[in-house]
Amino acid sequence: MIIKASNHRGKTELHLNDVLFVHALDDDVFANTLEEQYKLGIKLYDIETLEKFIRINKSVVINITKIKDASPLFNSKIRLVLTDGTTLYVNRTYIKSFKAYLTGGAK
Amino acid sequence: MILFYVTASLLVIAIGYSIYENKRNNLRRMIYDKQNEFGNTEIKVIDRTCGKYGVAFTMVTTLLFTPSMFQSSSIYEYDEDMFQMIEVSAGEYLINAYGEGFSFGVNLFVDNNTIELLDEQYPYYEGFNRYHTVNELVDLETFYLDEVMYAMITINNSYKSYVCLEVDEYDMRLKWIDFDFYNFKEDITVLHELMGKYPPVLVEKKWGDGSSYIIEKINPDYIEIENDYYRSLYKKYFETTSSSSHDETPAEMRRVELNYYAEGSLANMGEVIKLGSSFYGIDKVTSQEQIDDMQHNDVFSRNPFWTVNDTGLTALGIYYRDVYSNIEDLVGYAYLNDIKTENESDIYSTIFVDIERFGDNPSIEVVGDITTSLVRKTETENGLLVENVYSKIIELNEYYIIDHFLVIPPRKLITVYRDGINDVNVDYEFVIKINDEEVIVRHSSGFNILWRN
Repeated sequence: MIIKASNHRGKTELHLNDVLFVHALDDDVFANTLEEQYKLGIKLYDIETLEKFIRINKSVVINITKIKDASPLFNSKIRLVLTDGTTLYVNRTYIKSFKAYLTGGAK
Repeated sequence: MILFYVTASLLVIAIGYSIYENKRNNLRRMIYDKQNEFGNTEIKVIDRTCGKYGVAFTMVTTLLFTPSMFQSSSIYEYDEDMFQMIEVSAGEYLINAYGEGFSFGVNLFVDNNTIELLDEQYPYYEGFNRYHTVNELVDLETFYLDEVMYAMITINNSYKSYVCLEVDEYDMRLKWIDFDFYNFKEDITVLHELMGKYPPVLVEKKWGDGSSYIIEKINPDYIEIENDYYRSLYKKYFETTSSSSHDETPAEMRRVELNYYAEGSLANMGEVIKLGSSFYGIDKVTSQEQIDDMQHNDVFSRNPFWTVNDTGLTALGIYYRDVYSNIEDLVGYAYLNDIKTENESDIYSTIFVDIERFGDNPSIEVVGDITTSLVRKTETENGLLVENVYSKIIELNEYYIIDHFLVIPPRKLITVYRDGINDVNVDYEFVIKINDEEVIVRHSSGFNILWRN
């Protein structure tokens, strides 16, 4: 799937398969790939509805296929390491839906 | 015999580790399966054919032949780089976690016994500070386990208090641990291992809007913990931390402040009392701690002035109730006190406005009045609460100059009667024309009158 995005070089099209994770900052939403960060014109919950993407905390949605390592932590959290080495955490609020998603349940 | 205990201990740790490894591998397996659905597997799953007991055996062997590992072994993972705490000034700390900045303050207050007299009936304290802040007498020792910071707070080299601070990307939660530790760090480390063996029971609760949240309950199997001390620690930890108003903590809290009060004076400090914690948002005061002064019947607000500068928020100290103004940085105080008779209490207010910025002998004209209201609730014979509202307007036509303060002398705002429940609201806004510049002074406070004999 391809979505419209922009960065310092101007407008472009972005393959969602290349996106590691998407995060929201204030009113803006950014997609992070191995090489660059892009600003998106859609909301985080729009990304969340896509099959490969799952929300892990209030402002981050990750591409499930980009996880390289995962560790459960104390206090019901999960640490995820993505293919580029980025470390992100599944907050306790989202643990249940994250696990349900992994086991085939609804997001 | 010693070898037996050492081996048994190592076995327990090793089994704990293997349980954790299995849990971790199960998680990896679930992610692997999901990735496989999309034909793109990045995560590695370790296929341990020897099973958990084999892993345990390997661990025991490793631990036996690598004694140094025993010192640092923990069945939970954590990143040492996840947290960094810097002491900015006495009692003021900056926590960096997940690349975000949080501030953590520990305050110690002692009485300011230097009293100035406005007149015989209305004293005020030197510098308008009811309390001295002596944060230099606070010592903080911290360590991290997982993403939780534990702090032992030592006050005046004697009183000890323990807290844990959970920090994630968005907010932090403070919990008191009301326990008399032998060795804080070692005991907490053991507690974490016990939490691994007896994990909290997660219970799903529903909010009114139908959304759910998870709370942690004590694992009933904890009674199996043989060591009395650690069993009691495990239980107490749950009792105290679960009652630390976790769910009431406003979201996205970037600052946590702990307040302690020591009886006595700077020269002769007495018993230290923890006053609880105040939580402040990054740009607004979200709650305030009230300190009741039993001796003087005064109500002081733990609501310091905040100034916003390049380095963020700075607390200037404890003052009386705040006065706000249209002039930035104008300092003012509203000092509330009450004078009681047997059945009634008269509430007075004294206002101090710092006019130093206007130079020597400025021309002053005070224009305006104070509006107060009192809501008195009285219970009728059939149990109903009847509310009566009494309003009062006070003219301001008199003032003093003391040092560089313009002082509106004590004004009786309202009389509170002993019967019934009294909610008092004081709202005022008046104008002082200083050198023809209009200075608007505002104050607003509401409080319940607690009758003390």
